[in-house]
Amino acid sequence: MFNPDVLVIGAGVAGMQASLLLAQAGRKVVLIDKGPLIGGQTIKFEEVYPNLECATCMVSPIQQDLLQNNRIEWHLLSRLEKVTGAAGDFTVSVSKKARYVSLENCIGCDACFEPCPVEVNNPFEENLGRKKAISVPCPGALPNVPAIDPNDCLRLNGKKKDCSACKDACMFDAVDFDQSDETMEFKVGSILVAVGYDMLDLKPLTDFGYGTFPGVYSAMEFERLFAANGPTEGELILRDGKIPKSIAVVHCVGRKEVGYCSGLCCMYSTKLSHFLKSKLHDADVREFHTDLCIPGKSHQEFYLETKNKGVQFIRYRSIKVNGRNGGMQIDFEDEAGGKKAFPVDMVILSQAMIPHPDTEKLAESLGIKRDKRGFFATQDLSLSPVETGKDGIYVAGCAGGPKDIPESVAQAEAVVGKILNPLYARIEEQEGDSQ
Amino acid sequence: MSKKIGVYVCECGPNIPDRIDIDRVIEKITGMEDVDVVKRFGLLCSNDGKKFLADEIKKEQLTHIVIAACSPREHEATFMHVLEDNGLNPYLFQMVNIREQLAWMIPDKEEATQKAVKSIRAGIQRVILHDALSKKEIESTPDVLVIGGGISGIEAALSLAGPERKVTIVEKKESLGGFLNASSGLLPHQGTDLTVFEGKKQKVLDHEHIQVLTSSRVTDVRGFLGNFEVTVTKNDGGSIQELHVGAVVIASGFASFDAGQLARFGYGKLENVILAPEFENMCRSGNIQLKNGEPPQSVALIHCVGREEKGYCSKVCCLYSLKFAHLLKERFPAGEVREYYQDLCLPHPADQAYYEKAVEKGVLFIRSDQVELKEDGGKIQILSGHQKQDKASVDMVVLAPALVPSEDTAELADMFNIPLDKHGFFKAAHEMLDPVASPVEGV
Repeated sequence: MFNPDVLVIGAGVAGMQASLLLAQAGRKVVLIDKGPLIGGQTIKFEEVYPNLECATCMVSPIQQDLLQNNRIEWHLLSRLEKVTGAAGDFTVSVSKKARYVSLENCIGCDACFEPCPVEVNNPFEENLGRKKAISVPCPGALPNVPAIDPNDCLRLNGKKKDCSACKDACMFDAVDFDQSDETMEFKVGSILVAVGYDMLDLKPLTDFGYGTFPGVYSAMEFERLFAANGPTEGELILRDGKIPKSIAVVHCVGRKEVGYCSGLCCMYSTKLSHFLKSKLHDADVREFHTDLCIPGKSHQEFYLETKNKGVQFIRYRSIKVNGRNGGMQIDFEDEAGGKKAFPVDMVILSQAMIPHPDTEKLAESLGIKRDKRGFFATQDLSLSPVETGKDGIYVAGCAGGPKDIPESVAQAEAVVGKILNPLYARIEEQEGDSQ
Repeated sequence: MSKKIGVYVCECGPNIPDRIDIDRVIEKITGMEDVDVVKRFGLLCSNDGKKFLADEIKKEQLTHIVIAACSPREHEATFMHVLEDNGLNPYLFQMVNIREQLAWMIPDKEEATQKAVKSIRAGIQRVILHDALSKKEIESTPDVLVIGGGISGIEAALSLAGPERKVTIVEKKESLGGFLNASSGLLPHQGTDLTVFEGKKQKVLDHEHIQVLTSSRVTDVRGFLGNFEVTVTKNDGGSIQELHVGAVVIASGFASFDAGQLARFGYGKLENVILAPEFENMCRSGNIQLKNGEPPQSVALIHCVGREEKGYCSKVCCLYSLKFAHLLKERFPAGEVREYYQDLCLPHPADQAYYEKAVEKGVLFIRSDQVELKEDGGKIQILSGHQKQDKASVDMVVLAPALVPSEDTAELADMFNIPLDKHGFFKAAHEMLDPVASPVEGV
């Protein structure tokens, strides 16, 4: 018999929406994510384009639904290790790292953070903020239960074996140093891969001064800088404490290196300028782009609106971030071939989107292919965009290549449609038999 | 019947008593009309808390419950389950948020306490008015109507149809397949060809649970999610069929912007200026030729026709124009192919290599925000550049018109009560998170 249960890998918008729809249809879902929270990349954004809706407000109802849905068994800090079997009868092995905080007992009061003696950079905040060894990634994270990083915690890394500051501060007996990593096994009939994407490492791209000049930010760093729940509570303050007056947003960073257009950067860059102009009305904001790729029925309007706010859009042929009297300037060649310079105190780099770092290993475990650029391959891009070519395993969202939120959700819903109709799989089987 | 309301204040550890004087709150609430019992508890959402509530419901024979605690988003469902499990209607319940909205917001304890009293009083007044709601089951059908037999409608029907769910596709044209029936081929770099499409089409036609009504239109709809009554009428007005379906998929496709509106492109006036769909037909039939029957020596592909007027980028035109360029170079390797574009929109990672291959084959890419076409002694002159200063002459021009809503959109929207966006496309229930549902349930 075809096992109706489903494994969903990745708790971003695609994975969450698929899980909820499956549960609504009466299916049991096992949802895993490698992080300590659900919500994916979307919850890092203050607002999403083009309607500038608050991203966390938009996602939090579905996060809540998901956490309370008794048909969805979710496991965080968890990764897929091994898959055996075939469509309808997969056995999956999942490794789960200890959280060291009980999800049942913790009420999310945060009383444990303050006494913790260890403070480290917070990767969720793109290292612009600090966190304790016991922490939630950001205010409002769901589930609202902290996790202890065993590498940072003095008790768990052995540097101070008797430290129990967080445990002592907890009034609900939620801190549990005795938790250990575990391996779990599940039987499922179908698998959805929705692990999302990563951003290209900017350090090797020396022309852009990332890591050299403190005023250079990645797009994701800027998102956190702008976020009300971010490290500066939404205040646009540079690393040197100053408020920027002259800002360049550079598109297509790494496009040449990866060999493709990511399709989303033009729009999110425009959004960043929109943000900048909304908080710093008088700032000189310039977008340096190549081809403007703004597909979608509402996007051009948003671009024009941003332009009307006084943001200049400049098409460049070549571009470089250079030092200038202790500050920076953008040296660029414009469309007509003229060499120009623009002094700036902040540069935001919109870099290429690349495959999630787990893609290679996951593809191997699942026995599915990757495309030339490293994303999960689908059977084809036109008529079978969510089928992996292996029966019972599907891909949705950015795991298969850059996509915006609506496209990711639409793909997740398409996968659910295929999983819910057992006939669909059987049709494919018949086709396979006849070949 | 007399009401016996139980009011319970959750401490949530130190979260609430640190900021609100719970004993004062209890004192103020006690004695209110219909209020039978007012108590505090350490952590109501815990297993001990739930057991305490269950015991209270039984012991005090309560009829209504008010809980002052965290946000209902956190634990409304938790407490409603407790009521249900202990014989109370779960809707005779009101949660009052004194944590997120009071304890965590108001630094002054006196003020927070007073506000807590007011909020709980309001909760009590409200719960008195609650009705004991019950969930009803009504007859409904799982069958689905799909409007439009293009690739979207076909894929939807195949995903949905089965022994327990019959699907009816209503297609206004004589045959199933929609736009792809006229296509010269899919984008080869996307890894598939039209045989897959033909296979899906055949599967629909052979499917025992899919009914295909061609040359037909939906002319009336009544009802709601689970029970839509739909009238389908043959185009000749002849036969009428009534369908009973639970949900409707609208996949009515698109239309092309009327390029004739824009004099600068000379469509309809200049010979050998044609639209992309006409060129698709030429490619499909294999006769890529000028009006005089000669093969073209030079062809220009003009992107973004109507983009400015419509106010959006249609996303697919750059790619299919690239497809045309490849086809032309294969067919006429010595011929000249020019692409006039504003911005190249190649949003999928696989697209860039396809573009680079076209460049390798010698396709000329010319960026121009202005393009004007003129008669030039049997040829077509193209003026381009900011001041239209650049000139070139070609035998044939293929215009890539913007995609606009299909002509049936407004009528269907009206029939189904679906709002349209400013461009005339159907609006989604939620642009981001529910992009394929309309605001009308079940459609």
